[in-house]
Amino acid sequence: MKSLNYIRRIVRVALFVAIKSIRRGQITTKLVMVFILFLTLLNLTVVGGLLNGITEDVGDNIKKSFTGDIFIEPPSGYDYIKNTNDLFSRLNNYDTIVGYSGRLLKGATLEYDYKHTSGNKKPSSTGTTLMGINPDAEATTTVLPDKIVEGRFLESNDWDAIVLGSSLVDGYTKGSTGVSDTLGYVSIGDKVRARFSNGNTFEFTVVGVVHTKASTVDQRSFVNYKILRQLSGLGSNEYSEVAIRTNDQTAVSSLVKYLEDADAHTNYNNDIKEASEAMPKAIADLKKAFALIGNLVGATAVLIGLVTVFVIIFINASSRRRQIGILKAQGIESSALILSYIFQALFYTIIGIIIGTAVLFFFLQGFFEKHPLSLPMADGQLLLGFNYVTMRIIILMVSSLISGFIPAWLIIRQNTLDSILGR
Amino acid sequence: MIRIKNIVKNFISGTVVTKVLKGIDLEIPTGQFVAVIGPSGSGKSTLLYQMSLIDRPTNGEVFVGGQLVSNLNESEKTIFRLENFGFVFQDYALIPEFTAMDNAILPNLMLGTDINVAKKMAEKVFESFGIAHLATHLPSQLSGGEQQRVSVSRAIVKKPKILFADEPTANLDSVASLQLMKVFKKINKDGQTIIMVTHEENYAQMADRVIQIKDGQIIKDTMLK
Repeated sequence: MKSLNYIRRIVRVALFVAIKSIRRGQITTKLVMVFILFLTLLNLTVVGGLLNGITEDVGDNIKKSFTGDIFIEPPSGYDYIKNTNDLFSRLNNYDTIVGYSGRLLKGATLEYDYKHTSGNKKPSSTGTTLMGINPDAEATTTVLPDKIVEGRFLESNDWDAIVLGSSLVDGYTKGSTGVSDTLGYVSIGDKVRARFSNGNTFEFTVVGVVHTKASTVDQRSFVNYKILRQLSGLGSNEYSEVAIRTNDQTAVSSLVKYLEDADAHTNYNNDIKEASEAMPKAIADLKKAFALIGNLVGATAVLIGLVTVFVIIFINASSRRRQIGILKAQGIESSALILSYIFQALFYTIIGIIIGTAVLFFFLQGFFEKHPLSLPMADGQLLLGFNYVTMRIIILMVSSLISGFIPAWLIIRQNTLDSILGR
Repeated sequence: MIRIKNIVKNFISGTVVTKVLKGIDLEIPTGQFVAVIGPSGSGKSTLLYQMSLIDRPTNGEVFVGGQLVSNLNESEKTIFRLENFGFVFQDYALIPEFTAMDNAILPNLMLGTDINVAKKMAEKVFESFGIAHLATHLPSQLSGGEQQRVSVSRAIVKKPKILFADEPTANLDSVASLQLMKVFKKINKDGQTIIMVTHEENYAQMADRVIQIKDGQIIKDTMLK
């Protein structure tokens, strides 16, 4: 086994050769290397960071406007949450809970412009889920009242008022709304008719349009709990879902556990979950797809960066083949020469990383904060977590180490005399 | 002392085998200044490469100080060269990005010498060769003669047992060549063994011994002193 002293000598000579080569190397070669590695880091982080930002915003929108921090649904096979009185009583007495909203859901077809149709002409209609809410409770739990883009939100004394999700009407969503048919251009004060599966109808007055960019929410319509309970023919207060908001994000899982334990104790197995688990499957799939795209783009970037460093080091080492042979003839060990090339590659990588990181955090992040990518489902900001960036920096360093080592090794391992004589 | 026994070197190109060295035996005692001369293609440089372990002979053995060294692996040969041999090449072979001082201290750094000690050692050699004022110059800023003196400094600063020189005056004018030969004479006087390949008869005559090679064989071995 090589002694520590030997390794120290190799490292010292490698550093000596690398530093001299870097200091007196061609400026254009140095700039190209740094520029390519800077671009590689950006390629490695920006696309993935934007996709992360989009998925994060999608998740955040859903959490803030729909599920809250904790989301409760009925046990499997049931329409309504079990024993809500006990549940609400527990929630009322839990310190960190800021608000909760019990909701009643009912499927319906909404019709518009039905008063002006005659003969074969059918009114504009669309399927929706009517969500019966207590407006005050909803305001303490979600940001729905803040997401009104037209008109106003529901008030507690409203009876026939309805707030439409932006996907149900034209004029609020760019591109596809996710709904096959819309009601068309509906104005505040217009009447819409809800038609239920039993044939009953009820006429609502549109008081507002809500746009959250969370498709699950934007495809719903919001009415007062009292009216929907009556339209559903319920004799008592029943709830299809409950959203809970807390002021302590670190204690969410313990609160879920507390509620589950309480449920288990009374044999009520409501489906209690954190926001991330309550996310619609499509969104979870989207997150996975975006992560995959980000990784693919990143892998391509690493490959391009790796090949570039490889080629530059290979050309550099090839053009110095004779010098390498002479150094070997003088007794400079191959390992020291190979290490010197690795040091050079790492040096350029580190400079590229420093510049890249500065551009990422001091320019691009701020730029996307001010000018997010506006997508139908979210606003894409550049999300750069510490672990995310660190991992990509490590990947780039390791790649550069490999792409510095291989070409240097290929050249340096050649016969010393052949290198000297250039044959 | 260096001794070579029945050194054979063949170059193979396809089916053609060229016999460059045809079984050379030679013994050079410590402190001797030997000039190897011969016409182009006679095998004199090839002989130097075999003796200095830069190349591997097809057959035969090389002994240095009684130790068989021709069977060492590449890494061991590199270390052996570092600790025992110095080289001077025809075209000086200095690293262009390194100053004269950087070029000269590198072998000592590889030997583990402290950088300041290595610099002092190089300064001393530079002073004795009259090039101390050129220490911070890059090779491109030096004349051929100055570069060759830096090259010799690099070779001897680590105090090698044997100094090998391959046509060291080939690229120099007569004044610089003579200066270089004086340097060789001076270090040889201090006990340095030198094996120099040259095609210039007049410089060979400055050595202690002249070995003449033709067609891969020693045809004449003359002791001048």
